[in-house]
Amino acid sequence: MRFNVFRMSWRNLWRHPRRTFLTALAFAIGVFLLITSLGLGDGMHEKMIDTGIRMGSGHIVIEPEGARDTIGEQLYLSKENTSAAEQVLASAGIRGEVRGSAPRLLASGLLSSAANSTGVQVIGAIPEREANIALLPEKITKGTFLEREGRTPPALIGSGLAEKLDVDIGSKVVLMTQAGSEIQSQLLRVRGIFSTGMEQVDQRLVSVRLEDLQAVVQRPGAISHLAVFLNDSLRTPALRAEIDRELTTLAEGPAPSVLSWRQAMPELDEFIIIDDAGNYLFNGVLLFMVTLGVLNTILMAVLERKREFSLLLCLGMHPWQITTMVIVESMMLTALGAGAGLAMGWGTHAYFAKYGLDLTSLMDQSFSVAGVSVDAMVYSYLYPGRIEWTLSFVAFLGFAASLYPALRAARTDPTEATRG
Amino acid sequence: MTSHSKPAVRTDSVRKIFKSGDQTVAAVDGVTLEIHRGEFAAIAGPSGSGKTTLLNLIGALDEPDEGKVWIDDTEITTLSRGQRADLRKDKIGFIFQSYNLIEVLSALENAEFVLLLQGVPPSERRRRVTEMFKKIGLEGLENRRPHQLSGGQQQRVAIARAIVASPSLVLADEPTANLDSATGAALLDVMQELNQEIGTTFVFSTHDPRVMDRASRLIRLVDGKIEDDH
Ligand SMILES: Nc1ncnc2c1ncn2[C@@H]1O[C@H](COP(=O)(O)OP(=O)(O)OP(=O)(O)O)[C@@H](O)[C@H]1O
Ligand SMILES: [Mg+2]
Repeated sequence: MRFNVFRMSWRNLWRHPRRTFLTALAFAIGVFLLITSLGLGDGMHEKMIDTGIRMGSGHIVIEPEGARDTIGEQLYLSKENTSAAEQVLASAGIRGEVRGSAPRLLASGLLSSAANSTGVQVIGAIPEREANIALLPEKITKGTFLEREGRTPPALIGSGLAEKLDVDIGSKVVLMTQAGSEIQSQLLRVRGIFSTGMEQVDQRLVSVRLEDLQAVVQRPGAISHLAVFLNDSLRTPALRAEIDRELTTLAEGPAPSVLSWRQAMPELDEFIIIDDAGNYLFNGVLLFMVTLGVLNTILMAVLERKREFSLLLCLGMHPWQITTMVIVESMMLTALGAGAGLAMGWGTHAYFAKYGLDLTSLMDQSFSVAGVSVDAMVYSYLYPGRIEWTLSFVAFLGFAASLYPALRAARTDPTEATRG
Repeated sequence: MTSHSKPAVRTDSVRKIFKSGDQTVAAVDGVTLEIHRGEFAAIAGPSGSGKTTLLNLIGALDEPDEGKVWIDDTEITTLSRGQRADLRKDKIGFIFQSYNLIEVLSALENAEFVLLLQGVPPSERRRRVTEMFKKIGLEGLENRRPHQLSGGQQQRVAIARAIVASPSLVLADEPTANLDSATGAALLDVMQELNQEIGTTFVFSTHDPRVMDRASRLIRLVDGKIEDDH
């Protein structure tokens, strides 16, 4: 294009500074709200995922094939496959991306004290391998994380459970669980109490040392799964595939399943998808309305400028140059608004990323979704590409809002300028 | 001048009909005429006689319902909107009664505008416009915006804009109607001078007998028809 419309468009924009300002403001508010809500939404989701992963079975879980389809019967990872899995995790390409892995044995049983008894979920874990990755050790409010003292195996129990059984640090409890076709019972001593804020967990979970639980269920060396924690959660799909591939070649018998957290916690995944969809819908409607408002303003402005476009046409400006000029004006307007909105949105995001948004006034200390509890402090977080996506989307909307007015402007009757 | 033999504009039985409600008006009704290079022609006639409509047809702004119009050798009635815009850019200068200028551009930028559309390089544009400003008494007003200029000055800028682009003809629809008589007369002086010096072809419309007297040719319109042409 030989004709440079930018300078003229820029000046046209400032012919009606208030109108330009208000229209840009509409986009600014749209972008600001979009970035802020994406930041808080992503932040909340990321926290839920993080909590889910750290309370549950990691970013990636390696477990016996079909473990999820059998009810009532516990499947165990064979010793060979456990060491194959450990070997894969230690391999050169994968080691650097793995923050840690924890072998665990799961069981269910009945926990009794002198006062009471209740059904529990038992996790057998190796404390050294849980430290710094699992959430449970961080939630200990009293005592230690399964440190051995004396001959009685240590137990870590939830605060709700301690209350229910009326026990405290040092108390004795008895765990009854099934070992094959027999019922086994084992005396444990409470060495630690945790409190996650999740009632379900605090009232039902017991953690013991892996070897102690293996002894109780008479399965030495057996584990239910290997929980794998990554340095970067976004690498989950890629690493899951790689671990799966390598494990398939190394495994003996049927290869273990390698599941991402999305597969292992489908309810959480679904919740996030639905919540995201809700956010998209809300933001979509909001921006659609902003766009309609902007479209209306641009159209009014274009209709007001009939005479001017007509003069330009008389002078030999091409209809498509007029279209371009109107679109350029609108895109400049959009850029101004989006720039201001980006600045405000980024500022808000940075603030909430650092200090968090306290939702306690809106809800309880913590709330629980899909079995995962999230405390009411939300830290803003933006997934990579969110800003680019937001800006492209708004640029598209600015373009869309200007297209019809721009075409209308190009259709102006050139004789308009010749009358009166 | 040999160029006199070749018409800048030619029309053949052009008709333009406007419908408003159930009334139809033949604003231009079978006009056949030739305007030659270098002419300084006036179209006169009472209000509503079709002067503006005829100029719009000659200027490729409007399409006739019947008949044909040629600019140089181009038959314009078959052209698309875009082609007509190109033709106006390259061959026709326009001066209207008022509101001729682009508000957001300075006097200099306004005068450069058609050259800009034509793709003339900046230094060349500036040179031609500066020279023209000097010639028609606009020196020193280059950076003023249209609202900072008097009516007469604005019309001069419009003339400068038309002339610097070296059009085949300049169409002016009542260029002096909004000016007081002294300013109008001065503007006509400028046009006449340019016509004589550079040989620019002018076709302008007017009600004003004093303006008609300046013309080398007077075409009288009544009810869309040529009543007299000498
Ligand atoms: N767009 C239009 N729609 C309907 N009628 C029109 C239109 N343009 C012009 N006319 C009619 O055509 C006739 C000629 O109008 P035109 O403007 O060409 O006259 P004019 O000689 O320029 O008049 P004036 O001296 O007042 O400018 C008039 O009757 C006018 O009402
Ligand atoms: Mg008229």
